[in-house]
Amino acid sequence: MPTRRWPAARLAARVLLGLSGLAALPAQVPGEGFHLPDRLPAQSLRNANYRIHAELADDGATIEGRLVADWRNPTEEPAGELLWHVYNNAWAGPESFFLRRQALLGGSGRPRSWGGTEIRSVRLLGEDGEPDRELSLAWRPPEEAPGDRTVLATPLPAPVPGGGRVRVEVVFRAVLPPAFRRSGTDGAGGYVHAAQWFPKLGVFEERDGRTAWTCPPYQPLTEFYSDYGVYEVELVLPARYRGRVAATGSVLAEEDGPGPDRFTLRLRAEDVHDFAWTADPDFLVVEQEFDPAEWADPAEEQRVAAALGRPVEAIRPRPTRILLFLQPEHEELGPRYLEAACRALRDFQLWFGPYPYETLSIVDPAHAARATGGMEYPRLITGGARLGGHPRSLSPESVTVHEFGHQYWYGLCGNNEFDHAWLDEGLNSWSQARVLARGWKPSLATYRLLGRERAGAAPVEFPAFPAHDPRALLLLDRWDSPDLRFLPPLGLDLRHPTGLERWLAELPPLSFWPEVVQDPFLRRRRALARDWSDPLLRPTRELIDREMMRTNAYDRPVLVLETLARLIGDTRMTRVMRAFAEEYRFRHPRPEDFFAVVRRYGAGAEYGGGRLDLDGFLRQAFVENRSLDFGIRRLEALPAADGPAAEGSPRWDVVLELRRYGDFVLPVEYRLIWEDGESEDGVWDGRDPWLRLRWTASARRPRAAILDPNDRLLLDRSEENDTRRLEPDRSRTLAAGLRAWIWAEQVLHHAGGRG
Amino acid sequence: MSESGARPSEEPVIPPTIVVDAIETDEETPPPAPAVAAPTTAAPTTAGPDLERPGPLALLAAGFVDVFARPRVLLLLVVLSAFAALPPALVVADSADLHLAPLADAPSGPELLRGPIPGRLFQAWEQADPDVRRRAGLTLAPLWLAASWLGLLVCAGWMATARARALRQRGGHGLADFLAGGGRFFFPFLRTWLLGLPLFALATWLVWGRPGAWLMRLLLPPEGDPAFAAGETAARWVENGREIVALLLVFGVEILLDLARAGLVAGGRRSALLALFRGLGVFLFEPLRVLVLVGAGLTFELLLLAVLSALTDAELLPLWSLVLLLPFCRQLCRGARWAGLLRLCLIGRPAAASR
Repeated sequence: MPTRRWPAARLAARVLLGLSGLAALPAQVPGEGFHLPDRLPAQSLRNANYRIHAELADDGATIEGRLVADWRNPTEEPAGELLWHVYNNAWAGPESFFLRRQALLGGSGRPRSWGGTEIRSVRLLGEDGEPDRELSLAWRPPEEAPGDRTVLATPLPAPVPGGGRVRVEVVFRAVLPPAFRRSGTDGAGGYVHAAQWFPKLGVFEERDGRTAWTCPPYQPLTEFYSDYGVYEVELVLPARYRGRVAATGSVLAEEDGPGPDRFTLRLRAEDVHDFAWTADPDFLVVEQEFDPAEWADPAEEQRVAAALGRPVEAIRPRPTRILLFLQPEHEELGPRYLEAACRALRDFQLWFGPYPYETLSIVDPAHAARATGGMEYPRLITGGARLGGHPRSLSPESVTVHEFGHQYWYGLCGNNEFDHAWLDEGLNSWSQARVLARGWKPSLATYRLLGRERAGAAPVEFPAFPAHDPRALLLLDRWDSPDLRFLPPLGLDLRHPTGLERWLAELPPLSFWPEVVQDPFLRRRRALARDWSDPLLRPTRELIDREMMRTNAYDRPVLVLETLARLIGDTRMTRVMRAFAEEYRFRHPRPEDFFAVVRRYGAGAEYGGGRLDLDGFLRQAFVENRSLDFGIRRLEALPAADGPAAEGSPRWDVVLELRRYGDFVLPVEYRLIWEDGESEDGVWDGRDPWLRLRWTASARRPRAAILDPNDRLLLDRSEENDTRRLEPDRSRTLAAGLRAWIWAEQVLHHAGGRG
Repeated sequence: MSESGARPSEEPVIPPTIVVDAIETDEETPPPAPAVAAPTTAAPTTAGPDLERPGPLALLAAGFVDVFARPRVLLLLVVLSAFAALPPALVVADSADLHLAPLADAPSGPELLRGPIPGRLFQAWEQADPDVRRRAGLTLAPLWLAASWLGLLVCAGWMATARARALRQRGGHGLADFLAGGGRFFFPFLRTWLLGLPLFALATWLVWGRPGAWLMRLLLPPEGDPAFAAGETAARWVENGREIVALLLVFGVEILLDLARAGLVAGGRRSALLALFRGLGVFLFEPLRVLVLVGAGLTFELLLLAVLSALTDAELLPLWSLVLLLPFCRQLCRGARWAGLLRLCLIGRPAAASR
């Protein structure tokens, strides 16, 4: 079997080398004199600019378009060709790389009908803007999917030198599929979400020592990557969409025609790397100004200003116009969408710099096109919520904050999502958790009954067996005939489990845990239960499966970043994130850029009785795929053998054994709590596999021991072994057993009446 | 048909109307008459039955009296319910003892039962013992089938007891007689249970199989009428409606089976197949009485459960008391429904009832 060398090995090596020099860096200690230099750029490089004229047909799915791309080579090397994303072709047929890779990863599903983009012509434009010559087209499919048409190459007659410009006209026809994976329509001529709808240039950049196009085929594990520029877009739409169009740009003009029952919308967006738009005749449009004064949080402003060494006035958020495009039946959710957007606008601007655009459009997708929800595009995000949600399930708040956060991590800091999704999804999920933790009560575990969410969590999993498992008959779920070989197998579904029936069987108000609170950070620890097959730095597109992608792109970076924040402290973390956001605004940051900023502004923190080894932390967390797991192996109080055992005052030899189960080496704090309530803190450097601590002839017995009592090490794989009581609290045993007992009684009573 | 020693004090509560049962071939051999007193029926009359027949609520009330009159049986069922549910509870408790009890900074028992629980606690528990909830659930699989069959025995017991009380028979009221009555009709009931399986399969197929899927395709996107269910509200109604219809069909089959069983006991018959048809007949002829009886019984049960829930939420009842109170209330209500159905089927069947 052929083996592939991990292409990012060089990157990892470079990161390792970079990190090894960390110790030599001077430590920066937070103090009065600190001032974070302002490196906020006024605008992007604007090297990929587009003028697009597009007409949406009456079917609400077909777009006839003509675009002129004005591209400037940002490198010093010549570019002999142009590479284009034509990602709408991922839905052109089953041969696309996206669908093939999806099948390989065990996924299924395809659009209800095919879409796709047909490139009619690509012409080089002369200085006068007139077509100069026709360019040839060459699709660049990966070996795995020769039929893929998501990357198009157009060789140029003469290379574009470094800093040189080229203007190209592309005439295309795009058919958007019924909503599938982030883009599409409702299939009924109503809602249309045009994402990746026009051919867009890749990124010509220096990478691993050579300059080339980064323009990989579209695939399910990753998203997008492109250059910043100015978009001037002219949309001609059927009249039914008038006043109901959300878009990346600001509306410059809206005119009737051309032709009857159509209108033209002129839009402009600056310093963005994509352009999406959504229209729906049913949209209920709500407009609200984000007023920083109304949402002011003076304490947080003071804290951030002090951390950055800037005046409060310099970090205050700016006003922004929020345009909410709601489905009419979700009208009641409008205030919740808006509150979430306002809180996110306030916190992100405070922490990561001003939001530079005048509008933010939030789209609530149509029910028949829910697959387009929960996505981010510059200045336009799609949310998504279902009716009947529990107020504490934080829907739509959570998704709104998350997608807004992408305006910063993806939008303003435009990293390569194909390789390092953790740089946008991870940083964003961490930021999202911070906003949620400040703005709302933690969410609750819920279940659904007749489309309505209710709070509660079952103490026991309702029994179920997979299809064709004969044990299903025990539950009167299904009967399958034995394999008789000469007869085709027969099967009968005797019961179809529904939420309603489950409710009647379980009686959740009586048998469920009523209020299980989900902390926005700690809930990410669910990822610790998974197998971490790949280090965080492994390119996202090469991860073993979707599960690993979810871990490495979302949950794991949150744990790493929050652990880092708790180790270096909020002040340093505020500087790190602000500096990274400002320095790499309108640029394409890479992991080593992030590490450099962390090293610059995070170093010098005290932890575990000494200076934190930031270099070691970053290396182990990002590069080496190490597992952090400290635990208490033993806590005992033995009668002292030779202590002065006076009458009525026994003495104890107390033994506390700490163990490092993982290979992640880091100092860890511990706390011993005595029976009289007093506690004793200490630090273990964590280098040896274990540490035994002894208190001889102690007059007191310990009540408990806690590792990492300040909850800094969110990366610790097992929280369960981090604490230990000398005497177990059996009341918890009884409580858990009692819940399960009541639950089982109800389920069995239900079974007793069945059949 | 024997008329033996009817005494005024032993007049049956059922109205003295004779309905000629055309199909008597499935009747079992009448059991020997009790030594002390034989069951009796009144002489046939031509009095209008509708005027004298008790209403469904009265039948249900009589059912409650039947059940309350058997405290030892009720106690046995409560204890049995509690014991049967122990295996999953023990699995969970065992795991909690290992992984929750030693934690230093977790809420203690009472806080776990009443207050908000940090999700991290369950997360840590699940990580240490990832399988515990599933394992506990799986212990229920064999118990589920056993409970279903035990339910037949209990149903037969309550119906036999209610029959004896309705006919004012002496004896036959104790725990042993409850079990004997249950045992006597267990196998005919098991046959109705077996006959019920294809009915459940049919109901499931109708709603969740091809017909249901076809209807959904008509109504819901992508294939359905976009004008109808483009919105979430309509789609929710359709989906909720599907669940409700499925549940109603299952209820319908359950009621049919219960009526069939009541018919078996009321008539002292053995044929499950014919009993099903008779049950269907009763349901078709007296749908309102049947539905009101069963519906009122279920409503009353849900009300009782809501009261218990409110009392425990208000901390007026300790949670552990639910272990006994819930089965008590639920067995009481279920027993009353079965007894009420039996009385419903006894009405107009003095001939059969006399056996």
